Amino acid sequence: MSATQTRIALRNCGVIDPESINDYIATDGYDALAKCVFELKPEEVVDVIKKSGLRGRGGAGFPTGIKWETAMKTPSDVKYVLCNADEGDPGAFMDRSVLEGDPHCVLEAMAICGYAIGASQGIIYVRAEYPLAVKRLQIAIDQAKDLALLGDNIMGSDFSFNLRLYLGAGAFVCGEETSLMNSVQGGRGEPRIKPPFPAVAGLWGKPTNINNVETYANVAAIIRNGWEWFRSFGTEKSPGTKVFALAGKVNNVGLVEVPMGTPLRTIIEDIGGGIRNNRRFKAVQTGGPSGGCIPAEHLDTPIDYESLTSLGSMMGSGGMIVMDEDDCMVNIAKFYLTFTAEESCGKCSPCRIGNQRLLEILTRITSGEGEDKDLSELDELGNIIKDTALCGLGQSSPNPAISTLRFFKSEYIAHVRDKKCPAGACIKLVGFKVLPEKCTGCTVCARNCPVKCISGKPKQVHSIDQAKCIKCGACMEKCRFKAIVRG
Amino acid sequence: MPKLLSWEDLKSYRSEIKGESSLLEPDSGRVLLAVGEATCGIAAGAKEVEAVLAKEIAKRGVNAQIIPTGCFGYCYAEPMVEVRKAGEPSVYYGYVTPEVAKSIVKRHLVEGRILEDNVLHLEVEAE
Repeated sequence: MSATQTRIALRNCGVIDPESINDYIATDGYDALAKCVFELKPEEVVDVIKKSGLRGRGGAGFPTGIKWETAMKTPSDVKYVLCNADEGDPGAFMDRSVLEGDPHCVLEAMAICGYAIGASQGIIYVRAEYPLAVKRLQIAIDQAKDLALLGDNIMGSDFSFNLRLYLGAGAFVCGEETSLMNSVQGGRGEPRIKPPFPAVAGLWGKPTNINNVETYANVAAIIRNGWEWFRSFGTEKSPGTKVFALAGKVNNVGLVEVPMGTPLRTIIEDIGGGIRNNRRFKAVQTGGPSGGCIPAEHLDTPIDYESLTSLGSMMGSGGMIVMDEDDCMVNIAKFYLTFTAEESCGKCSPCRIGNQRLLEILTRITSGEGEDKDLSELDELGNIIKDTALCGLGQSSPNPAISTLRFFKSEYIAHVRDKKCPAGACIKLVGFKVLPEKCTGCTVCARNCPVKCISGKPKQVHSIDQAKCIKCGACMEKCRFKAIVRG
Repeated sequence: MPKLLSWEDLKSYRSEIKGESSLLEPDSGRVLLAVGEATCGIAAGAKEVEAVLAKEIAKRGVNAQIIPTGCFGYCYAEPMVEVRKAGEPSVYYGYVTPEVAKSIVKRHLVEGRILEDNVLHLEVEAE
């Protein structure tokens, strides 16, 4: 069933007791840190990470080694190591699983990074909505300090590294690195223009390395096994593996780690066990509110950063939501825009106003009030927002609308011209009708209609008053003869 | 707890604690029951399952130890219990109810019979 999975970031998840440092040490834990501190120079550590080709697993895929190198080379008395554990995409739970299942692997990697870039302080920015992850991280930090694996003079060496947690208050934009740093400094969670990049001037203006949880989860394994080993997985440009949170209409919902370059089809059909209830696959949404929807004809696309971007989606942090024929793509785009419009921090106008306008257009279309010009406006406005927004949130928020418009244009046209929702999901465009040849006149539908808009005598064909109908679907659900259908 | 003041300290600490960890040494005769207890597992009832396993182990005097772990990744099949015996491939049970948990101890651990109906067939290439 899951023979195609390869676990590097999740190597200890489900294997060890996350609240026991002994369990982590028994699986060669903290050996990578010891190797760095006692055998490697900081620049050698950076070199291994650079050669491994590890890229940021939080979404954008920036080469981790280059970030580390920049932070290392920027002179400063104080530097910081940050971990972005502000996982906020709807349906994504990769980072939570790593933190809950193997917290020490993140701590060890952050200490290694601290040694490499010359930082003695680290902060994990974790959402307060992850109480179990917070608890296990704190236990792990305390245990590591007790054994002198963190704190002052790690393992008797000259290297000191202290770690603490910072709880995020749940703003989606704080997953964006400059907003995250503003939040840690006690300011509003608002982004700023880059450059300067955090590796040059980050937290409190000091050189700061910030990586995502899953990126750190790969580091100790790379140091222990070598960059050549890491490169033996995945593709030339995207080495290693990627963790995905598989959700939606698949049979096997769960956490999946596969080598980069694995086709989408393998994840959905082989590992995910196909679509629930024998329905037909329609699209897969990757990258959360920043990503797009990929249709069936592109299911054989290998998963790597560039391929997903070329399809108008993105790797994102690894959320993967599978949709079937009952999902309306216009409605899905509206769902994500509702999310981003609400989560926009409001600092720049393209994101603050533009996303609101996009949402209004989508709301019109799904309510049957759309016009032809709405479609071109959606595309034009979406691209303007992408080009002009201040941070990653706004630069990617139109993706769900743009990608569904690209791959599912006929569905948009059906909403706009025919005032029909082919998937039957947009409640204002759905109607119900009685099939006279099947109706037995049993009166069950009339008795269950909450607005009493179904009339007919017992044992005679019933009819629905379309003007009064609120489109709740109760009649269709209750009919034992399948005599009521959408249409 | 001792302070580890060199790489050697870490290595010797590792060999000391290995026998009590979640790793199984060959021929140790230990049996471990790993219960997936990330948020997903707990929400599906893993804590109840763990309590039943602990009670049954004590009642039947079985030499087994429970390891609460993170997420196995198979969220659809939670709660999950993995039976690890030295020298044998692990057996993964999915959709474990308190009743199934009772049977795991009685049939699998005491009588040595695997509960075929509840086994999830998983193969993962490890690190």
